[in-house]
Amino acid sequence: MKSLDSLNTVHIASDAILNSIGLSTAEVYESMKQLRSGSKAVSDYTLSEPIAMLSCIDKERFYSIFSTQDMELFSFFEQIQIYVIQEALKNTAIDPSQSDVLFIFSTTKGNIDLIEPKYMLDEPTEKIFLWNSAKRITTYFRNPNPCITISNACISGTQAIIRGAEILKSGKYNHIIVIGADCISPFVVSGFQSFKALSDEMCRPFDAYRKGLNIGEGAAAVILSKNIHTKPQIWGGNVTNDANHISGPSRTGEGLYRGLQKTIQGIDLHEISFINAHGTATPYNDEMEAIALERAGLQNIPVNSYKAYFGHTLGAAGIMETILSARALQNGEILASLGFEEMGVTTNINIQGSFGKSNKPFCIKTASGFGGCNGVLAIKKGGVYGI
Amino acid sequence: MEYKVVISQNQVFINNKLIFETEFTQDSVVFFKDLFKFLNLNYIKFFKMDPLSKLGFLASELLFQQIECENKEDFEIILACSSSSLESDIQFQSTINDPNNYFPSPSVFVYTLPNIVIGEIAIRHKIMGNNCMYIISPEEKDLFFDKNNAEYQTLDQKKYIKGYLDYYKNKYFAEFLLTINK
Amino acid sequence: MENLILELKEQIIEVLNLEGMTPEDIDENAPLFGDGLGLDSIDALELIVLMEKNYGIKLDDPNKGRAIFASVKTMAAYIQEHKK
Repeated sequence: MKSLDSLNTVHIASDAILNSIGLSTAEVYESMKQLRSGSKAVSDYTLSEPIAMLSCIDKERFYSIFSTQDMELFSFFEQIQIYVIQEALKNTAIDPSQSDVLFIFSTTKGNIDLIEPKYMLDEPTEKIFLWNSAKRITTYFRNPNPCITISNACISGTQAIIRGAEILKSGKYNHIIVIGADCISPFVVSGFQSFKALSDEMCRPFDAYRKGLNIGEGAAAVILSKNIHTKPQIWGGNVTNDANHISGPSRTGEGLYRGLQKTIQGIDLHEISFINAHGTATPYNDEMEAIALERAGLQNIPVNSYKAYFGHTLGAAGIMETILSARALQNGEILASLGFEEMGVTTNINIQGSFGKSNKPFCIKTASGFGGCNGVLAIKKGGVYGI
Repeated sequence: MEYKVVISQNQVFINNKLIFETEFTQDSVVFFKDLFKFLNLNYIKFFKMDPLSKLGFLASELLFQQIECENKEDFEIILACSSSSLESDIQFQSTINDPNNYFPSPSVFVYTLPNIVIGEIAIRHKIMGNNCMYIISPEEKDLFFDKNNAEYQTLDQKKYIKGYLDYYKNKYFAEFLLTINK
Repeated sequence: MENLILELKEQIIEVLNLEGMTPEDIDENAPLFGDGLGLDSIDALELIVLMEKNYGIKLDDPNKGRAIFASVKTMAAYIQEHKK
């Protein structure tokens, strides 16, 4: 993204989150300040291990506030997206049925449960297609435009925001609604179990005793609009590739390093409040990020990961974690990197072990995914002039 | 400079010229193997790939064979598909369906994401630039390739591969463009 | 042990998609990872599945895998010892 396009600036006009620790951005943020984790041991979820640590949405609570009237044709995966879109639209004057509004979706597996034997006949239903699912949601909101769906592994959400900002700057639309979602399924859990990538306890990003990730689920939406200077600004972003291995991250953090380098160009490092890393708590991911951060000269900047709070939410992660980072930035706060106790990576990066404060105007969001992709986003605090 | 590759129904076209063809009834994976041999490639990783990745790999290989380019680091890879990784998804699901034969396969699971084909292309050609996988309905293919359309534009419009590909149940199609603008 | 080694080679070729290879092409003493067959971390995980599926041997700690999967020979020896 061309960061220095100063004609129009892109801002997070509104947002909404639904995950294992809250039904709104405010509730999730407050839960995080209280160091609450939504990761719970679930027995016999799949046949692989007796226990899986999963960060599930409280469905009972969700359905107590979300009406299922007219929702029969929408899966849970789709309902949570409709919910966060509705929540994000509240308190704005934006009409999603207008032609100046574009929807961008981010997900890795969509309605993947539809290929389970109980749903499959000969063929899965058309609802299995991510484009079909997205289209039915935009139709629900009566939006006239073709929507965009991004599926680029765990960077999808971060990339969707970057793409949203780029498209907004093109001038074709006035508002872009970016939604990310993924749900926990036996498919995903057994897949990560086959990779031996899951921890049997709350995950511990960057910690010496980290054992792997916790799978989470959720939906998050941001509405991007132009020139609302009091709101957090999407200042810049880049997507790169390690070109190294399809599932293991580059040992030199090459792709992430390049993404960081490109994104922080033009930013004084002393003005970065914190970096919210991908921090999945696998031995290799966290080590790779630590190497990339040091290579980019960012080893002194406070780093955190949110994965212990609500798990790795895959397609929702990049959006959810950007929202929370923007909120922290705006509040002059740095959220604790829950799960971290003892340094467990080989470079001397600065893990933010406990809640902190900072008035610096920038923060960085990073994401990495299968396929060797990396996404880096820079956010600037709203209401800060002359920098 | 622009080149176009189309792989469809056991035929391969470069800039609308037929350059390779086999029996129409042939199994797709066998066809991919024959195309691989025809291209005289030495790359054992090819055989571990799922069909979608093989398809994208072959299409991009054909494109890069048309140009001389030592350093491809800054190329963008912008792809779109319709069925996502459904072929591999169903294959992986089959390894977990039967409780008496429950053996989730990691080598299948890794291909249950549609963007892995980008990873395979990037690894092969050492491409580290902007990359994205969009999921579109088949009817949106023209929209995807429309250069005037902001939605699917490449970042810099300098050096990129833009391609639509799809694979499901032995049916496949790939249309890949390589563009270099000075 | 000879039969087991041959059987293992055939299974490895199939499960890891080692196209065009025959059991004669695999030296049972040669390293499986690194230069030898060029196997990677996903292949290692797949070998863990192979051991459980075909021989009923469960390997919960993937770190133990290094020693066991050093070569076809070490793998066969481990299977011989732990087979159910």
